[in-house]
Amino acid sequence: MKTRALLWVLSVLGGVLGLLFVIALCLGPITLTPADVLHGLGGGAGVAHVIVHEIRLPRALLAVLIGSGLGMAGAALQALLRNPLAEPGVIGVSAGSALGAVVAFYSGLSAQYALALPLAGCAGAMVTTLILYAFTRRTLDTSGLILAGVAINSLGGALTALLLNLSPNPYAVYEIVFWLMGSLADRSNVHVMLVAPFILTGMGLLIYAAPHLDSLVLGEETAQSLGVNLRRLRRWVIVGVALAVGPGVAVAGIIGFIGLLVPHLLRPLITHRPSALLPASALGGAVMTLTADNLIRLFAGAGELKLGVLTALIGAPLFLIIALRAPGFRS
Amino acid sequence: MQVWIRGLLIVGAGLAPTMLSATTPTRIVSLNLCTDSLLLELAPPASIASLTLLSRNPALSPLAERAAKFPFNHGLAEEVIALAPDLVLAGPATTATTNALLSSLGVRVETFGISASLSDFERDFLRVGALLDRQPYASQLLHAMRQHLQAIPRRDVRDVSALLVQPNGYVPGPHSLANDLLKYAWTNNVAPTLGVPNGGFIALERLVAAPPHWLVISAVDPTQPAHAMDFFSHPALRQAMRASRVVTLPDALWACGGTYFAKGVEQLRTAIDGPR
Repeated sequence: MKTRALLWVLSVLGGVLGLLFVIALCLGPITLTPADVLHGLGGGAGVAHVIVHEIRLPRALLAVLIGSGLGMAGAALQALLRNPLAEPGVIGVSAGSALGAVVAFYSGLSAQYALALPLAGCAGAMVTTLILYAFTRRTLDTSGLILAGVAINSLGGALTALLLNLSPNPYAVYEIVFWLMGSLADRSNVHVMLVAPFILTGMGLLIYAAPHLDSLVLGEETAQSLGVNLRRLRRWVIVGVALAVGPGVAVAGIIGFIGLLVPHLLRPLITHRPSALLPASALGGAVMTLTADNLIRLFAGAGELKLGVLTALIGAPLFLIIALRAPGFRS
Repeated sequence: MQVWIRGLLIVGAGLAPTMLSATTPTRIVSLNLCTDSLLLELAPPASIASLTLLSRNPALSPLAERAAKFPFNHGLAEEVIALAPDLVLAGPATTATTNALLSSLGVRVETFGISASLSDFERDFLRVGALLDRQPYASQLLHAMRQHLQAIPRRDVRDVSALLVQPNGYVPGPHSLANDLLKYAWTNNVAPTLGVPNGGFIALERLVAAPPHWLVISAVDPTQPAHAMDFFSHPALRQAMRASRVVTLPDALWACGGTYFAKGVEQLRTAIDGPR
């Protein structure tokens, strides 16, 4: 029964994602007919080709890649830390990635070695996830972990702002906003190439780890008695989350709450089992991110809203609702 | 050529001792990059007590070398009080709380808005001239600038379309010195036809669909790694710019009003007309 529900949810999400992708390619300040778009995708020269192939396609692809990475990483973190509020943006994993990316970008390193940018994003994500994991070894209290995450998040944001303030870049103040409230505006195929291998590898690792996460839902001791190597599982998940989240943040800034909302919306529809929830959350994350980005582009005037602002506007109130329901927060 | 000789004569006249009235300020502090520039052009060096730290940055001010000779401040009330100034020039927003605090302490604070046009700048320039008892000198400098601008050969603006773009794809609006820069260089600013009639961030798509003859890239310091500069390296923009020509102009020449504005216009026109 559950398997059928999962297949049904996956196919609906897939269909919606396909539709949103087509809309993304047709949406923009320059009106292009579907025929223009198809022609532009196909290749050749001309304005339609440049607009579709170099501007709209990379933006849509990045929304799908980054959104699916965030959705899956959220579900995986919630399973690993056994905490319904764990989410890359809320607990500081994204802030760590942004800090890593800022170091690589403003030191000029990424201008020389393009790969330094996604790698630094991964490194930042991995360090913060490890710190958070160390916290869960001391306390399994829901609110304790979230508080630690909030502190790490603030520290990451403050260090990002500090580094930008110290950088001689004249646009630094404006750029703090970009890193803390991400955006996909005017990203290019170069960025897609830069992040796709990392995010896909990260998601592959998480999918591979998902069946073992299923046993972890029953508790660490039970999982161990079922033959799960906990140390190895943790390593897989932490590396997987870092790869799925870090590079995206490194090219598009912090896009929060996707990893929180998507698994929460999907759990009642399918199952709590991570092995089913993870792939569905990836699709759901892609759908949510692309929806949000399409909305931003639809209502863009002279300058558009940052994607991170929109996801926070929707995500933060829902976070509050989920927090109020979480067992650790009830008095 | 004649313009420059005339300019030199005027500078000479400015350095000549003038009769100081009892109310002429002699210890002036500036808290804003643009009022720094007004003071540097108009005030006798001995009367400048302090300028902003920014004024010494050559990426921000064409008068940085001159500014470096004066003490600097960070726009804080404490620094200003210690200098016991008889006049403070400030911007309206960045040091708003400092301005209010200084006023309440009895310091004379004169605020100046952002120059939204060349005539705005001329008005502010004359106002500073009046504050310093140097109206004739201010008028002479403005006259020289106008002559410099008039010496730039006219052309039919329809022949040359141009768009000034700053990092992040920001296009200044019609009420800006940037707009006047394009106007006085006899080019047709196409911002209104590209979806940014009142300024703002231009959609890359629009620029790709209708590239102007000239793309004027105006950045503070293009050498520093900045996310804002990514806009200019976007592959779509690069492809579109095969149809346009690109000229890079320092932001400092028009970010604040100054008689050096004419140099900015001349620099732009020289780039457009090519080596003569």
